[in-house]
Amino acid sequence: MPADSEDVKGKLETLRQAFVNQLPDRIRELEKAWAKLDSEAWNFADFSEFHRGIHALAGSGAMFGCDVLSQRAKLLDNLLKALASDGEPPSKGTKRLIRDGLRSMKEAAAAP
Amino acid sequence: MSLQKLERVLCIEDEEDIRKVQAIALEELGGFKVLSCASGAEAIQEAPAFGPQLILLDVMMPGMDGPTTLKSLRTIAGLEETPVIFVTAKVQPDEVEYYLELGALEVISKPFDPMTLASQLRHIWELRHAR
Repeated sequence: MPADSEDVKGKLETLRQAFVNQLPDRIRELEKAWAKLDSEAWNFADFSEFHRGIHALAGSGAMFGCDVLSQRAKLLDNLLKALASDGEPPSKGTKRLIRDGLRSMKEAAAAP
Repeated sequence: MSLQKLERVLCIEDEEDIRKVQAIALEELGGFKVLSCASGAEAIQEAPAFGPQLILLDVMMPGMDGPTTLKSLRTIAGLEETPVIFVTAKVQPDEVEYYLELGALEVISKPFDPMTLASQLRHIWELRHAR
């Protein structure tokens, strides 16, 4: 039998809160992943994993109403998508854009 | 012909957070039995035993994406005509047209409203049977 909608809202709010609480750790992991990508020979598998993490935050952020974070993640996601389709390591300029994108996501995650 | 009741929904979504939201929305508000799969490959393994009546399929997934998963599902006995609804943030008219051409019954945009997702599915289900 379908549950009471207030109970469901409560469960969804619990999920949202868990997502918000995890944001600092998730951003930190992405920063670490980027630092590794940026400092070593370009690794496409690691890049795909990094891109997946950004894409995930864009989607989940939108789902949980963290609109600014989601929009900033989406911008970075689009940049990474273009980079992935190029199939080439990023230029210095692109790397700078990625760093800026991560920083802006971190700022948004601090006040979701 | 009487309308078959919608009971079993397969959700294919790589994002764990979104899978949880879908499961709560569909099981608790819709009263559906839900099988959640994290990838197209997992869905292809699990779907035959579950026998979904309706499939919610994420478009952007690593490895096997939504369109590729749809093609594979169509080769499985019993799932050749199971209605598939794509769930995606990419809902420009040309993108929606493309998904429908691939054989999707409908497209639900992300982020969806979890409080109305179950009734949305039921509505799509009833419309399909009314056609």
